[in-house]
Amino acid sequence: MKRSPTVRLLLMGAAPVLLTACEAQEEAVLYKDATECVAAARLTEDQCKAAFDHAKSEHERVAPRYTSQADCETDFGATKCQSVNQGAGIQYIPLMAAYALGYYAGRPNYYQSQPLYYSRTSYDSSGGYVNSGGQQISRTTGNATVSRSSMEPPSRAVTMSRSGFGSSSSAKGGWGGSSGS
Amino acid sequence: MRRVAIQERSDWRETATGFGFRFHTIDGEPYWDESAYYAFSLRQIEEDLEDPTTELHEMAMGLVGEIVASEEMMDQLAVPAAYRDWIAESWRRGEPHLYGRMDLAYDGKGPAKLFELNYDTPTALYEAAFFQWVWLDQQKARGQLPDAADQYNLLQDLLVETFATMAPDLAKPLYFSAVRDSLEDQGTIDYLRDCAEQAGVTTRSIAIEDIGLSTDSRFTDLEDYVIESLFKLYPLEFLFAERFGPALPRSGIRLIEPPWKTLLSNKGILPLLWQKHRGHPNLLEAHFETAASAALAPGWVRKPLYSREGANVTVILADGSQHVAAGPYDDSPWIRQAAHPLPRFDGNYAVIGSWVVADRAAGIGIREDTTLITRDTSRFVPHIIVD
Repeated sequence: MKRSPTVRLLLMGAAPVLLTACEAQEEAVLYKDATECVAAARLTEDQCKAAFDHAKSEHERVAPRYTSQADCETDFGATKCQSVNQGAGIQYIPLMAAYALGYYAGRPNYYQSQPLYYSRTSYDSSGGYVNSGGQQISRTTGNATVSRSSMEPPSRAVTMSRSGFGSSSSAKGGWGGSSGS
Repeated sequence: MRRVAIQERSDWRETATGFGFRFHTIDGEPYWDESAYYAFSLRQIEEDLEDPTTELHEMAMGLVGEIVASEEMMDQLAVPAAYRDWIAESWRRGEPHLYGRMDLAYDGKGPAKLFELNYDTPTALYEAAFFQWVWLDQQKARGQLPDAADQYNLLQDLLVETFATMAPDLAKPLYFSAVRDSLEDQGTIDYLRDCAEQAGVTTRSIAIEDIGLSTDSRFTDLEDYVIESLFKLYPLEFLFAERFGPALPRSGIRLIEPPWKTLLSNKGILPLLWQKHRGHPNLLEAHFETAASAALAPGWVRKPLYSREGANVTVILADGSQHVAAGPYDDSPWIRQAAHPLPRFDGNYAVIGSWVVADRAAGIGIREDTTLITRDTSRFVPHIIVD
């Protein structure tokens, strides 16, 4: 046969099918706070606190943002959101619910940590921990297997300008609005 | 190779809607056209189209290393000086590419001839990879086509496989971007995004106009997240010429198609291929136009280095008849290519778009037009293999 044995659509079509992850998996561990981390006795107290402090310091910068408190609480629960103002007006972000530790780039003893949020709508609405990019990390704290990319959450930057791309297509317009070929 | 009339599926528009195919009719004119199909023999597909596609692709890839090492060739291709190092670096780092489409003239016998490589922003992908596949399956199930009918179409398998291969080295999410108001381009990135998700890659989409630039020269989405990986269905030479262009090399962004791919999408690749493989059965003679070039003679075609959708192409056939497609791409140098009229079937000129995914020949899509120059008004007609 000279054609694909099957074809399918996840997003475009009316009936999505289950996707198969082909990404590298790695070990991570989730703690609600530094106390839980110390109790697990995998890391020293200093390591636990340093990782927690790092996640906490990242939290306000990277947390998912909402313009309405109600929308935030729909995803994370009543009283689980806080307001912030970082120059873009009042926004609402979920409270940090836990933090995740992973080995940094596969090197033992080098840990990276990030803040996690308890999302009521994740895991088919049964609830679980997600990172700042909304990726599902684990239903519970403790050991977890995660995709490598979920331990490298997206970074943010201060945008100073938009609409710097796209002008050629309107200048060369009249071609069905298409820029492909 | 035959053109065969067939009954349309009475419900194909509903099927298209259910499968997210929103550009089957463009400005009231049919684009998806299943009132006919093309039938090939397996030998025609394998020996005349698949094998030459593999070979032409290898010949083109064989030129990239030479071009990035040669200021003279970069000059011939009119690559802007400010981006040459960045393009060369993307090649030396081995940044992987996803897909390309070469346009071939083929009439069922004799060697297929390469018209051009669409290696930066190829479209007509979803209809070739997905909707054409569904058409064959349904027409077989309804008894309109024989059970043994096959199709040269490994596109979706290879697209998903290639995304999975790229995934480990790609920062996620992978953003997909095209011009906001182009239904066709948006449909193409929707489909590619779907393939990426099937490979387990987390994706987002953003209109090309909405991309932001940060104080530290990173590209950002509408929530100020840094865009680290971007599939752009938007010509790289457009990005170069626009306001944010100068930030590209220092932004750290990973592009698909990678920057080096623009060298193969440039029509100047055609004379370079001819210089290196003069007389190859699948190549048409081609030269760069210079100040010393004579007026365009009968039997020759004039094309800008950078153009899309057949725009600004002039053809003078051996009989002296002239065919011109006007357009906006008159600001780059030109090449000349030996004229080779497209074959005509029932009054329609047919061009074969032969797909390459990663480095593998992957399938074909056929577009028909009533004029010699295939334009964005052409119709997509499905095909089958029967022996």
